[in-house]
Amino acid sequence: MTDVNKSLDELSQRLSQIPESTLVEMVWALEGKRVGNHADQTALGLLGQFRPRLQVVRPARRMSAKRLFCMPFEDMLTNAPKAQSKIIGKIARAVIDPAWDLLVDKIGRTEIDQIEAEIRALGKAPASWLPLGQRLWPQCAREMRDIVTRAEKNVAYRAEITPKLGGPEMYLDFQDIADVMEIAVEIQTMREGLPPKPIVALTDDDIQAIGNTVMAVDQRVRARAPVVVYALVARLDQPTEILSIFVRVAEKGMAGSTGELASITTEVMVTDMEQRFEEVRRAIAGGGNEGKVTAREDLAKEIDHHLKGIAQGREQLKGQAGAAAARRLDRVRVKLKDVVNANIIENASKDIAKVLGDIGRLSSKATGEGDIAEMQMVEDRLLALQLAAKYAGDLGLDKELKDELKRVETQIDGHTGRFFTDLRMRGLTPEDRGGAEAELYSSVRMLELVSGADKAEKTLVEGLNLIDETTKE
Amino acid sequence: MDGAVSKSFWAPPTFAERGASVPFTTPIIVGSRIRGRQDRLELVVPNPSGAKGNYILGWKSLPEVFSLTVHDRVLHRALDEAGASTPEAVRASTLRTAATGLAGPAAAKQAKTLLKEQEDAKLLIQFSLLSETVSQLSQGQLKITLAHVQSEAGRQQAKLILARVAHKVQIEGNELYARIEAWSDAVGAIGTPKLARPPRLRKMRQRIEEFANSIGGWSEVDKSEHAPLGGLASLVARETSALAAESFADADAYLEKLDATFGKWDKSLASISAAVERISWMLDGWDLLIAMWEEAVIKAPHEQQAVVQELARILPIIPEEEVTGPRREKIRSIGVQRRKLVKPMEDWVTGTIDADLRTRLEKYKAKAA
Repeated sequence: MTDVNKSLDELSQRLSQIPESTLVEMVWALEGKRVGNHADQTALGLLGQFRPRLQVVRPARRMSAKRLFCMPFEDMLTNAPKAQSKIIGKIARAVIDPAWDLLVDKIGRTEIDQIEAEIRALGKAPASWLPLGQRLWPQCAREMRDIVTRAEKNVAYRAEITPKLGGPEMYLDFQDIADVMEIAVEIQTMREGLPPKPIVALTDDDIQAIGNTVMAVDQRVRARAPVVVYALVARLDQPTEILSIFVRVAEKGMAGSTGELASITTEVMVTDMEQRFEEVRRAIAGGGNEGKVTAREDLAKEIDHHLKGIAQGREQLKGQAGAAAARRLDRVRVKLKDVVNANIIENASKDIAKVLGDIGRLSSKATGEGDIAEMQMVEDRLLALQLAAKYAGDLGLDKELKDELKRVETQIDGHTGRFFTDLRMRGLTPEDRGGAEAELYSSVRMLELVSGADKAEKTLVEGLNLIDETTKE
Repeated sequence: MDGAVSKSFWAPPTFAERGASVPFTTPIIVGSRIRGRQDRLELVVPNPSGAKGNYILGWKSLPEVFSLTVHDRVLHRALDEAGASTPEAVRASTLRTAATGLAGPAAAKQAKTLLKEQEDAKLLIQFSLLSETVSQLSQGQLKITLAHVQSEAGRQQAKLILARVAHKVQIEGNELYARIEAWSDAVGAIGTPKLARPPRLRKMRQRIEEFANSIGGWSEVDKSEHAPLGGLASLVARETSALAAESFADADAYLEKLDATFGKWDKSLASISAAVERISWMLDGWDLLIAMWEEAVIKAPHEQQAVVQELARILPIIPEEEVTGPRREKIRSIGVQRRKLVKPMEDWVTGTIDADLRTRLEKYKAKAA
């Protein structure tokens, strides 16, 4: 590793050690720097370094009127392309800027500047942004509803604003934001009472907070109850949890309109599962993970997570009413099966064969960057196969996976067989001994990942004995 | 299995009783320690059921009791052959085993890098001690350069320079050189305070401090029931670092008064070696915890919480008899806190080798220091 690479490695290790409170301070200061100069490369670069942790830590970002506007629906945001058909329960990020520009025109720059000034006066991350939101969101709700009502009545006006928003699908997302704004205070109150995204488990207090929201929305604008479902599903680790959450809410006597929302809840849940698959597909197609040493291993884990969600969803959708939704989940499952087959199973043995053909060079130079990357690719392949073996049976891929593993095992056995024969025939000089041991260890490691420790150890012991016997003094 | 020794969290009274941590890659024995008892080795395994208590196994029976990875089978044999029961001896076998690639290429690469760094550090430490000695004894009149330790000719020159100042500590030049070599070997893991690249244990103490800050900060932000465990881990890390600082100061002090150091040489060398050994025991086992936390900081909150729960279970709290006075009381109260806070773990508890968990342990190994 070069000195520069080593320093970068150490720097990134240091960044991961910065306590969260300090990280929050640093992000705050860097964003402040960017307020004056949006192209500040130092600030941008450092914020980029922090990005992985920011996604997790989610520190209070420097607030602006636009960020405050987005706050109640930020969990629902998606990166889906503008032209994609409207996705229920999701709002495209692309609609934020045009929607905000329209709103600033309607509400007036003076009022927005006034809100910006109050945000600055409040300083860093107050306990809650609700009081300021209560001032902004109702104004947004009013103006957006005016626009939507006018657009629904006046074709010419609709034709005028639709392109401004980015197209007909974006207009539908704009309508969704208008709905959220009407109950923004209730939604934000619920968000502040719940754990951060992704929610894995909910306590009784959390269920109470959801129940309170359901009751409050029912009482004030019952027609907006579906927004509660959208906001909740978007926050869950497994969208299929939503059905059991509503059961728990009902047990507290706070079901409200959720009982009448069964079909929409199912629709949102299934759509969310489909969208999560689409994100996986987009990531593979975009090649964002190419070169990442754990790309296939990560994919295998992600698919495992989605399959658990689907299994849970199917369990809850048993019976006639849920049949259509269950079929949609099955379709997602079939798509996941194709992804597993194409990216984890197929061609694994071919990739391994390539490396085995060159293992003498690769194993003895394993400290070099290029070589370790190739060995890591093999590891990634084999670990992904191991992980996929856990669910291959459920996906109907048992045979494909076992056949591929068998092919890999045969290749490794064939390679070690030839290696041992060669040792017996030619023997080893003391100088070659180190290289031979490295090659043996690399093959044994691969064999262990495919066939298990017992067989691998047997090969190791046999190989080491052979190396001892055949080394000429 | 030979049987359980304790129904609560194990609180061994001394370092030797606690044993040295062994970085296995078989999930079920994560956090295990090796120790020497009379003429045999034993393994202390945190209760595999995840509940409180530890199991003691005869070292030789380990492969019969657990289904081990190939890496661990090889490491098991290597430790047995070396009769290793101290952190330094375990580390030597561990690095050699990892360098084979049996825990994956990243761990192999890291092991090879660390072995090389260890060799490089030897030279720098020797240079630092020679340079400090010559500078002090000649009152800044004479100087040693790096070239004086890099070749045989250089070393001969260094001996000549030492001969000019050795009379100040009433010994011969060659004897002074030999003592500096022995001193350098004794402090191989901690080096001297002035080294630009601190050797392993000095760096480890710094990493423990950083870990204390990081997990302490997390425990203030996290709102789950796991937050106090983060606070506990931070407290143990701070306490360990503070105690280690005392031993570092003990070892470093010998550089300040060279007259006395070389005057009572046998006693000095024994004390320096004891301080280094104590430091290596104190900081033993933190590698794994720090690697676990470094992986966790970029994960989602629920995953961080699970990791905090895991690492609290294997926190290397300093044994009570190794400290005196108010510190002993503090250590005792930390032990009590842990007993109250840590719950049984499910994750590592499986008879077979779980691929995902094993990979995690190998990744920690690739981050070893």
